[in-house]
Amino acid sequence: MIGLALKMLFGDTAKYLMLVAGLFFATFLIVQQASVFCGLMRWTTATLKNVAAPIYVVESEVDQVNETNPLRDTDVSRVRSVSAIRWAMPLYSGIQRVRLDDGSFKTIQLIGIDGASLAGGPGAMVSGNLEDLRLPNTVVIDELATERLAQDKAHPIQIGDRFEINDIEARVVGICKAMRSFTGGPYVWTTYERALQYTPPSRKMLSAVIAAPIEGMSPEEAADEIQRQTGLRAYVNRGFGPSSRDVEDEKGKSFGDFNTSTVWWYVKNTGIPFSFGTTVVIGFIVGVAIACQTFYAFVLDNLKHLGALKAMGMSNFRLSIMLIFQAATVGIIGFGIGLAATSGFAMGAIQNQQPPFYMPWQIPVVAFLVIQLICMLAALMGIIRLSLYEPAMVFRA
Amino acid sequence: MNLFLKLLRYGSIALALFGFYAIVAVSRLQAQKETPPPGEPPVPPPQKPFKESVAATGILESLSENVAIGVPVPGLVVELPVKVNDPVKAGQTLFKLDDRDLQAEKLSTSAQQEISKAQIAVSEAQLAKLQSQLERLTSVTDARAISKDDLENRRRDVAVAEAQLSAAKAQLAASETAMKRIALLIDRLTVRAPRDGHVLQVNVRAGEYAATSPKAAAMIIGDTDRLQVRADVDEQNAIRIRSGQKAFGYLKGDPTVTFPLEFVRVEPYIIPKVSLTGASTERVDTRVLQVIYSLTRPESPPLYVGQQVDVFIEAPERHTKP
Amino acid sequence: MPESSPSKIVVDARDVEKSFGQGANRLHVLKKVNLQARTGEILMLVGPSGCGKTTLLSAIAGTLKVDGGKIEVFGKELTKMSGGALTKFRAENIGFIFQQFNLIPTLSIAENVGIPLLIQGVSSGKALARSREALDRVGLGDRWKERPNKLSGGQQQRVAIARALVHEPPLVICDEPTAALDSKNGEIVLDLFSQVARTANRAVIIVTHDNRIFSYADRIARMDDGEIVEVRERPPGEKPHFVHEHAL
Repeated sequence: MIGLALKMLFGDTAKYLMLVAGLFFATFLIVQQASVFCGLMRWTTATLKNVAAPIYVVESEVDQVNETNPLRDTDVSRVRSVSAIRWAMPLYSGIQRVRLDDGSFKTIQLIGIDGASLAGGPGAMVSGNLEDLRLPNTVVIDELATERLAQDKAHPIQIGDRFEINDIEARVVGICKAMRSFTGGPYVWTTYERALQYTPPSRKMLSAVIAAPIEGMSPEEAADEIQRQTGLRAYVNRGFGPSSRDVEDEKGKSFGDFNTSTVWWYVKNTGIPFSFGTTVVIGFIVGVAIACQTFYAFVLDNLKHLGALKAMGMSNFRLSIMLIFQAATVGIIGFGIGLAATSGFAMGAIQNQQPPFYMPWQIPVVAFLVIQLICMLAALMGIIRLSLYEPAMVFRA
Repeated sequence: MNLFLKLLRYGSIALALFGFYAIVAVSRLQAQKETPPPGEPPVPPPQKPFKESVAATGILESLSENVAIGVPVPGLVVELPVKVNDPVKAGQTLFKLDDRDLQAEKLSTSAQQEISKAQIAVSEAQLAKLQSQLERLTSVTDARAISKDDLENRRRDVAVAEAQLSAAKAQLAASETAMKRIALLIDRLTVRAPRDGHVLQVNVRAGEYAATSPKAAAMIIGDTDRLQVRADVDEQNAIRIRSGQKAFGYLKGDPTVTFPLEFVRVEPYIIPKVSLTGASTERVDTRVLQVIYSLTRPESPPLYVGQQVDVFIEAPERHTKP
Repeated sequence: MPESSPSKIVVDARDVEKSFGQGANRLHVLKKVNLQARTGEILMLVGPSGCGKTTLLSAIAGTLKVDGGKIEVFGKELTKMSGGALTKFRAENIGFIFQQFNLIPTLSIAENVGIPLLIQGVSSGKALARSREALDRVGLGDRWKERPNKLSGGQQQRVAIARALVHEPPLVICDEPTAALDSKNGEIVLDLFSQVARTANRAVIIVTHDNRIFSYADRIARMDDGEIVEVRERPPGEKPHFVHEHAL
């Protein structure tokens, strides 16, 4: 029976290819665009990934990590005074300008971390020593910066090279791995005190306090405790997703996780999701249009044979199963080819870190369900058409 | 079914299977490229010594505070007999300022003194002369031999001479006082230790000009055998501070160095936070309560006055309603 | 395969009524039609186009609901059966041969022949073996791998016959089996039908207006305008033979 269905399907090569092509196109649009969107949204939380402290404490009205309202210096001590906190360290994060030898300017994402503990330092060093950050006028840069701040491609920045941040010398003592930022500027680490020297003065400079909970306490509980004790906003840094600390009040939804909050801020305040959403919807519509129409044509073409089968005593149920199986098969094949194309794109994107690409497992799973939904819609149309076909009609050739 | 169609059919299936495989590979690559979540800070931050505590940043001072030695008048430093880290006793000379202008004045004043002394001799001789003349006249008993006027004149001359002598003596006394004053002024230019202690910092060198209101004190002395910590507590946490609370200090940069602190006092006046980094960009943006703790200088590792310390003061948390 | 004596009535249609359309367009196709078919005989339904013979065939095959009357096939009243039961009944008891053969072009002929077995739930391996046997019987056993469009019309019809017989149904229903065939193939096909009816003791009902084959019929029911106007038995002694056109 299944073999029969498959042979009928593959026998009509033109329609089979058309169906697969339509579903391939829909899959590619949906998965690739959704992943690029996720990648872009993930870039907005790059600071949270690169400075991966379990808890971020920020000013009470701050919703996202890229634009913080600075705190007062002593807020570090206030956070440290909360008993649920094992340690708390200052963090400076801001966009600064670097002047290269040829006089051109590049923006960087400057990160200032506690010089003693180096809490908030990069997760993986490529070369150099993070501890060297304690030497005077030193910085640790990410791999992107080695190209971006270099004079030309042939001479990437190496350890020992110098450049100027706001006219103050910075010497590179380490190169690390880091995720790209939304603004495109490379990440540059230095100590908190030095970051203040690099930065034009303003009244308050402390961007955030990073902290960790005491042993045996979850970051969520500790963050709640910080908010209760200090009145500052404490976020956990778990990764995108719903959190037990999400609150919905009259001011709108607020999230307990800084990643979610940041991404939501961009979703709410920029046209990015709308743009990508449109493409994904177009992918869906294209898929539905091509798949349903082609499949319907396929059923119409085979109506005579299907009618004969019906006359010969094949039940509507079994015929429907056959159609559903055919639709699901082209769905799986089209989806698979779509994934192959997406993978090709993704390999390049992930290697180059450009364009943004991040594919959580939910995207292919949801896309698979969407494609199968399209196929089931197509199958349903065929089933309806077939059920209207009386077996007696086969005698009226 | 010709070969091409077969190729298309099986090719599409193979491509689809490859797609499933490739997306798993992408997933793997993605997970692998993920920047690893940084674990603990490279240097573990200080362990909190108490369950509930107030954290503060503090600075090490010598006990009874560091003395920033001032300069009485602006002037050139000519002599600097002490070095950094020298123990000094109260009254010991720390440095001397240029006193040549005063020495010059002393010279002219001492010349003046000689003049005054000569003046006294002149006046005394004059007086003796006039007195002997007067005696001679008064010894003449014949009233006709001398006129009454003449005798009176002579007596007046003696009085004048006596007055001149007193004036000359006063002159001498004045010049002697001037000498003493100059000596005092010269002495003032020698800056001495106000009390026992160690020289912690010397900011002037011989030949440098010491101003009266410099950015840094000319010299800092203090007692380094016993140190004290001046801890800045955010005013919002001030309410949790009570006198006598236990505290521990951690050396900034090395959380393994910890030392118990002994409560001394709470400064009763809340002041604007003073910069600890010393950077000119650092701004006063909050007020702090200062709590003073003392500690005995441990044998090892060496502690230095002026070092920053993280202080944890045992203080119960305020249990506000959420 | 029901082993029954000759002349057992297996199809009994009584007062069958059927009309299509509504109101003024209403077309009365079957008017109180009575028809019996027996095992071991070939029954032909003949008549001009639109006389209702295909409709009657559909009704007997259980693919069409009639408006009135009663149709009994193998003692079961089709007119009272549900759609699902009818479907099952068709799958088990009736072999179909269509005018256009209705072979699925993307399947090999052996696969096509095996379809009725698959419908009955026979495994595909067994189905293939049995369908090859059936193809052997129609003389196409060596071409079982080929696709229908590689075969001539007559060969295709033989495949269709193999398909109709593979599950050994007691009743075989044919709609214009020779309309698309030349005389030579027509003769081969009709010889096959005679063989099927006689040797396997099946009832074969053929709708046709191809007068070349009338002599194969044991009985001929002539229809006109929705009624059976004449049922003629084959004169005893007359041999079934194919009337070639040049002989007419």
